Amino acid sequence: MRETYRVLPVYAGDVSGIAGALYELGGMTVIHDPSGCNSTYNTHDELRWYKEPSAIFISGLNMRDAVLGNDKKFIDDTLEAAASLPQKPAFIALCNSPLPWLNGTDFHALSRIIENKSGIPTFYVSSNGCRDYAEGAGRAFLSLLEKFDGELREKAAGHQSVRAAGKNITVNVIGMMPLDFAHPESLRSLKERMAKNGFAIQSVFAQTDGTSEDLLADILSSSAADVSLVLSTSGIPAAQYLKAHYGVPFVVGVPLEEDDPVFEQLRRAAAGLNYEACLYTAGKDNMPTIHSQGASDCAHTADNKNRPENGQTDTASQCIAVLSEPVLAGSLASLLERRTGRKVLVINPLEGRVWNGHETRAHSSRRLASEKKAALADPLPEDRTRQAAGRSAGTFDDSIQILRPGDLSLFGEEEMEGGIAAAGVREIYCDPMYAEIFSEGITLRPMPTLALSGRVYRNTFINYFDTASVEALISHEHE
Amino acid sequence: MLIPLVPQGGEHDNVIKIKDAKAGKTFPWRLEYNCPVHEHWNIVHTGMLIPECRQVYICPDNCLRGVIMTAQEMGALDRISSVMPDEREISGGSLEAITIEGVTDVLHKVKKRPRAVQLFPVCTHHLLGCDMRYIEDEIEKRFPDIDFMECFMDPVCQKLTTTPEQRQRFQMMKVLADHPQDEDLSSVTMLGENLRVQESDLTQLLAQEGLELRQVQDCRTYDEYLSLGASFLWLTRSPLSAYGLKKAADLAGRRSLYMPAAIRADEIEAQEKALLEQVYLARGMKEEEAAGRAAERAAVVREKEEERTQELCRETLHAVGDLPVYLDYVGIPRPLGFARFLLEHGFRVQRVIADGISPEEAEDLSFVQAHYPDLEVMSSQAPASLYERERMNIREKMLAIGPKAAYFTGSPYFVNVIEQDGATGFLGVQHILRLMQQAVLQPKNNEIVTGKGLGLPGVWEVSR
Repeated sequence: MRETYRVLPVYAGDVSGIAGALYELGGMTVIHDPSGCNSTYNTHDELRWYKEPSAIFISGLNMRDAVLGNDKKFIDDTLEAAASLPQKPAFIALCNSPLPWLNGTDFHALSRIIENKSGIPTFYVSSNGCRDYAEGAGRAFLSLLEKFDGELREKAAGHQSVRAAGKNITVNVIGMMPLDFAHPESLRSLKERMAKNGFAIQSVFAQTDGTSEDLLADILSSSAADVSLVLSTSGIPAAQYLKAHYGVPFVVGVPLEEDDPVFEQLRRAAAGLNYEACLYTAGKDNMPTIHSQGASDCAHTADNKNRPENGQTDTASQCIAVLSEPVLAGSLASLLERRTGRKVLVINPLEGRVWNGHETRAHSSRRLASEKKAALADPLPEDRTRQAAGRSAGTFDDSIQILRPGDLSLFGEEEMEGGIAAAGVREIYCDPMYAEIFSEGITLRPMPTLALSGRVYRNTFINYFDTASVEALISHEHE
Repeated sequence: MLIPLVPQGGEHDNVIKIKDAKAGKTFPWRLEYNCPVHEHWNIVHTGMLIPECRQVYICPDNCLRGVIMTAQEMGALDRISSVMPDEREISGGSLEAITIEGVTDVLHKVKKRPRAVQLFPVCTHHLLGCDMRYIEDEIEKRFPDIDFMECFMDPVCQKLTTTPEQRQRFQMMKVLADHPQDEDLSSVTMLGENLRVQESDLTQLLAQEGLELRQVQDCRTYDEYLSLGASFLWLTRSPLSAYGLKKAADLAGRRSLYMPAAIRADEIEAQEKALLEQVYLARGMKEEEAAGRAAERAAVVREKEEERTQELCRETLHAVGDLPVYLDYVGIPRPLGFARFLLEHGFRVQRVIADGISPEEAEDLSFVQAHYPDLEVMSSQAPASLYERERMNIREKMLAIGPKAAYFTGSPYFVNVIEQDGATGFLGVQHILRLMQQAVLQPKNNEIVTGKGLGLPGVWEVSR
């Protein structure tokens, strides 16, 4: 059964993604939940909790209120908590675990009431405790931009003069989440790498290394950037929004090398030239490719310049795979292919959305049929803010391909176990916890991920923006 | 209309004076902060005490992750499994079916068939009105060779009824009820305890009576665990286990005794007398004779240990001096009682961290209100406690007792224990006093309090 897990944990949930995304922005996040969400989040999904407090609370929902309804308590408690903080929060974000989703709590109404009573911008981040962190974080970033669209518009208005002045290319780094990039030096290394390549950071969604005085202000000026760099799937909705509404193009990929090919695409995008939005999946026309799932021979297409000839297949004994968050996995696979000339299979373990032109198998099975059509058309069908603003969902560019034809989306332990065996994988880059389900003979190259194994391997997180660390990770391929 | 939110950082209701405190719901139920202290045991840790027992959780992503990761951090992933229904199954009326089929699938998949399984449905099962009797009956029918413990992970109920911990502990005791009682009355069993009972006046008293004290921590197999039920007298010290102990002992037809943490000499003496009385009554002694003899024996222990405790108290006061003392309910199960004890012996107790004052401490509450009205009580969960550590900004040396007190003060001088370190009686108090002496001399890395399940194997550690 796909629902059962004999031994593996699940990835961090949507609520953890939301809390982690908004952590350093000076707001207050309220999770409508009986208990446990906060503890799970701050114990296993958040490394900042001990040293850097952030205003993240749960509501402590009890059964009586869940059944009979007591929204007034939630509103009053939220207002009171906001007043108890040393500084007035910059915003209040609401999200929830399964119970308030099941009883149909109207969070948009609650947001409006709280905002009207407090004067603090308040918004809902659609959630239900049943999705993964990447989806939660993606929605959080997008909801934030939508809420503060007025500020984005103001900043965008002054952008032309900046562009004309011929300054360094300014970049939004979107999807920089500790859940994916947990090494403490990650952001510093990335900034150094970006600076060496002639880029100036406009904003980071959403982490600071201490050099930014106001991370939220940076983000609210993201509409004035020349281009966005999307490091993970959680960054895609926000990048799409900035592109659709403010013309900020985006490039997807993790720059694993000092002079990574992603940088050239950023330059081209900023200059208004043709560019590949996702280099490692780039095909002839960069349009989505509908294909059947379940490729088992490690034969798949990628950027055609450096990848082996299409149709060439590895023997099962040679098959290499990267199992991780798909943007990181795709970037690493691309690097491995450039270095070795061998094909590398990307395995996406997240529920994801429309990352390769169609829903992942797991995801499609997790949606009501009536929801499906809307989901394909609109990444966030239930979002009302955008509808209220009179923007059609069609303004979003849903054609971005994060997975390549032939790559796999495997959801859950059973599907993962069977899928990896069927694909003939013999060497795999992934979180060490997956060793629990691999058969003998598969060599594991450890990539500890906070979003899966939590803090257990926290001393061995990889800095993907440090040359020595990446070279150490892939050093076996040169042997 | 705007509600004025200023002044920010003014008065905070997360800290109150003891004179203003009441037992029970000491602080209002509002939004909750969760501080980064995780040394207390949760239901996963407790459930793992039973050998050859597997835990199965049936819940959505976000709830599931916490329990699996708890098992992972203690190196027990091979004893926990899960079923994660999706949105359609939760909202579409098939949660009962998926629970039954999921548990069945998991139990067929595991490499070694467990002797017992603790099942944990969750809040959603309650809200959706799942027929739990049907689910449990069906699963039991499919696996007649496995003992199922019908636990719940349903925090949505914990404020209004019993907590998941209380019900889990009852279930863990209930399986013992079918075991026949030993005819020779040679043992007493301590149940519902996370920590092993340390060497104490309790263990000494029982040994003097020729009684073996049996504990789950000594069991290596499920059969050994079941044999704990053979004792004629079942004990517990934990308030979380009192509910289950009484119910399970009644089912089994055993004597039972709840022995909550006792601090003062008269409390300890009364408790030890009650214990001995049960032993003597079970041996057939008449009530009056049993009471008399028990009182006599308990008084002997008091005479021997009370003076020793007083002496140690003086030594400890000399070591701690005028340092402010903060203590919490995680480290000391009777925080107010222990605060009272320390205050009466001249310690400068500043604050007790407790999210509520137990009605069991009502007498201590009255006493401290009358004699030390300015003692502070702090909620660890109130939103304002998020910044309490910065607000307190303690720069002077101070002593914390318990991990939450350590965190909120940021002090490197702290007694790092939970549940009084399993110590009990006069020797239990003496044990904590000795740890206080050590704590003021040996600074520790304050961050260790973020570790999960103190005393358990931990694959995650920070340097000490």
